[in-house]
Amino acid sequence: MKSNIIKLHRTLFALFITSFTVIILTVALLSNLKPFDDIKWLDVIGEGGIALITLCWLLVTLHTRPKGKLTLLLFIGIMMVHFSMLLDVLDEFYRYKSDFQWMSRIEAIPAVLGLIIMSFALVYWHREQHIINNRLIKSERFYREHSFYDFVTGLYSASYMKKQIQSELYHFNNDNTPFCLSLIDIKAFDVYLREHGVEAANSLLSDIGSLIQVNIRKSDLVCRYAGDLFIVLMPNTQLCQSHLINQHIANMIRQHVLYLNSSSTYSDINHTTIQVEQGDNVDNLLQRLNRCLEVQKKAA
Amino acid sequence: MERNKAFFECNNAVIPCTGVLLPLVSMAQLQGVLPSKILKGTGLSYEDLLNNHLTVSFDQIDTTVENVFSLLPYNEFSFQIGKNFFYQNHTPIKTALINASSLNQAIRIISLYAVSFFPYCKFDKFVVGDKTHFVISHGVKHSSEFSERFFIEILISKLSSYLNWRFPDCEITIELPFTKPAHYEQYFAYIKCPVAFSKPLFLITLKSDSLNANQQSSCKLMRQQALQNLKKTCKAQSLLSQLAKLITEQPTTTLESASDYFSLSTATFKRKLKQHNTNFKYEKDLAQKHATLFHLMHTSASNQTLSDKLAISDLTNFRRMFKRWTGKTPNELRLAK
Repeated sequence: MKSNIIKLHRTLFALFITSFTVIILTVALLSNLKPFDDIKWLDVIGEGGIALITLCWLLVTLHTRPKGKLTLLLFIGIMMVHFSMLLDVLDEFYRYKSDFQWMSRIEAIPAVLGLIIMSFALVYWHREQHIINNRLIKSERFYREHSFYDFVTGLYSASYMKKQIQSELYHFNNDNTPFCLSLIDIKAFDVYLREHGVEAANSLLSDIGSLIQVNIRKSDLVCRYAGDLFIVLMPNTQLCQSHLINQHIANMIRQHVLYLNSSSTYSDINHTTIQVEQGDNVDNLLQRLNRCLEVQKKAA
Repeated sequence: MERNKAFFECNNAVIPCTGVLLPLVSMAQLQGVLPSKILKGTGLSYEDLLNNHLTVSFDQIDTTVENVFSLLPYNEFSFQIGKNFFYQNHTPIKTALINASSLNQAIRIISLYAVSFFPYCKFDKFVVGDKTHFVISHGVKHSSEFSERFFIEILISKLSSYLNWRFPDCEITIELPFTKPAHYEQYFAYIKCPVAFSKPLFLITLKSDSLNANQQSSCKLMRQQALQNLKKTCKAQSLLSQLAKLITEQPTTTLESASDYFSLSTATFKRKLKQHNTNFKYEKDLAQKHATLFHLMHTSASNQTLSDKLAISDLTNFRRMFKRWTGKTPNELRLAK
């Protein structure tokens, strides 16, 4: 998307450039240049700085957001604030002709309108965030930290999971709320990597991450543990329930087809699950989980 | 036997970019980091990396590692680089290794063409009873603890995936000289053999028999062809590797004799060592410490035997030197073992 920002928002860019040009020309036509000595440079720096910052907001908004109603509202809102600031700066260089003195009195109006529009945009933003939160519910819990994000699978990494386990342990120690942890390992991943290469292996990881995400409950959290391992946190869950969920995930993954250039392949997983016990901490829980998977893999 | 005295230093561009630099940059790029930020301070540009035959210096790689980890502190690049080495690269060293007739031959290829395989660590081989041990240490330069761990992780991931693929019956154990890291799960996911932390040495141990086991699917012709190609590549060893070998072979080596060996003046030699964040005394202590610690932990050698190996006539001096290296006396360490 990033390389096509101008193409994607070309209408908004055209609107901005046109409005910007019209404002500059209008001010130039309706006013006279101030003598150099009359320019208050401190005001220019202050007002110019604000205009520049609002221009940056505008570009960042277009750079980070896809097309849509919210983007449009944010764009118009910030653009109007920017134009108010721009008129303010131009005011420092131009003096309006006597017939057009009213111009200097209305320069704050676009900012007010812009802020009202941005307030509406905030309502839409809240709705949009609600929808995104619903979509992320199985890969994010109560806490957002982009540095833990894994770009291959779109899930959080083990570091994020450790923080969540720590918080579940707190609930377990205080309210005795049990929880389970599952570890899922893709069978023969190394062979797949050798035969199909890194890109195909990354696609497989991404597909399996998504499949796990779809087949767990809303209250559960899946993260990429490391390599071809995924970890699922199941709060308020008994061991028998987590076994059932694991089994269901395994069945769904077995049915999933990966379409390659000339063939299609199926995947299978090794999986194990454990329930928290008194005296557990994050480290020994994960070690116990690792050991269980080792045993399970050897048995398989 | 006259040894090849050609050596390279940390700022000599002799290391192929395909081993670590290229995959590191492409992985960081995949995570959304700009190449200019990844390569900042290296003097390299993204366009330079388009040249498949590009060779770079250790310093350039080390700077890139520091850049990547300051931008993306939570990642598993080291393990991924190690694992993908045999799957992604089509280099002569890879062809030679996957067609090695036995592990013994693979090890010979690795030590002969260290620059092409993994120049960042050097290893010393010890055979005790039915086991063969490899004591591994930094190969080119003393860098930060974090950076040294990064290279260790690449190496063990590389070896683990190689052995798992070509010699699945070979069982190895790995001892690492640092405490269990927070990202322990990556060791579990990538390293398919037992790993122990907080050990005095970086040690890889395997049964000597497994070194001679034949690799059924190896192709002699392809190996020979790859070795022919490898002959054209750099065979020099790093300055610190050469120095460690010299000290091991001649424990009485002094700064002056080492400078003579490398045909350098003492001042130049000292300056070069300083560029590698070290000095002669430290390197001598390290080489002797590794050998002594290994024999003390894995053989029944007495203090007298160990001090003889180091050419120290006085046992009190030996004990004092040992305590300076490890903080413990030889007997205390034997008991801890």
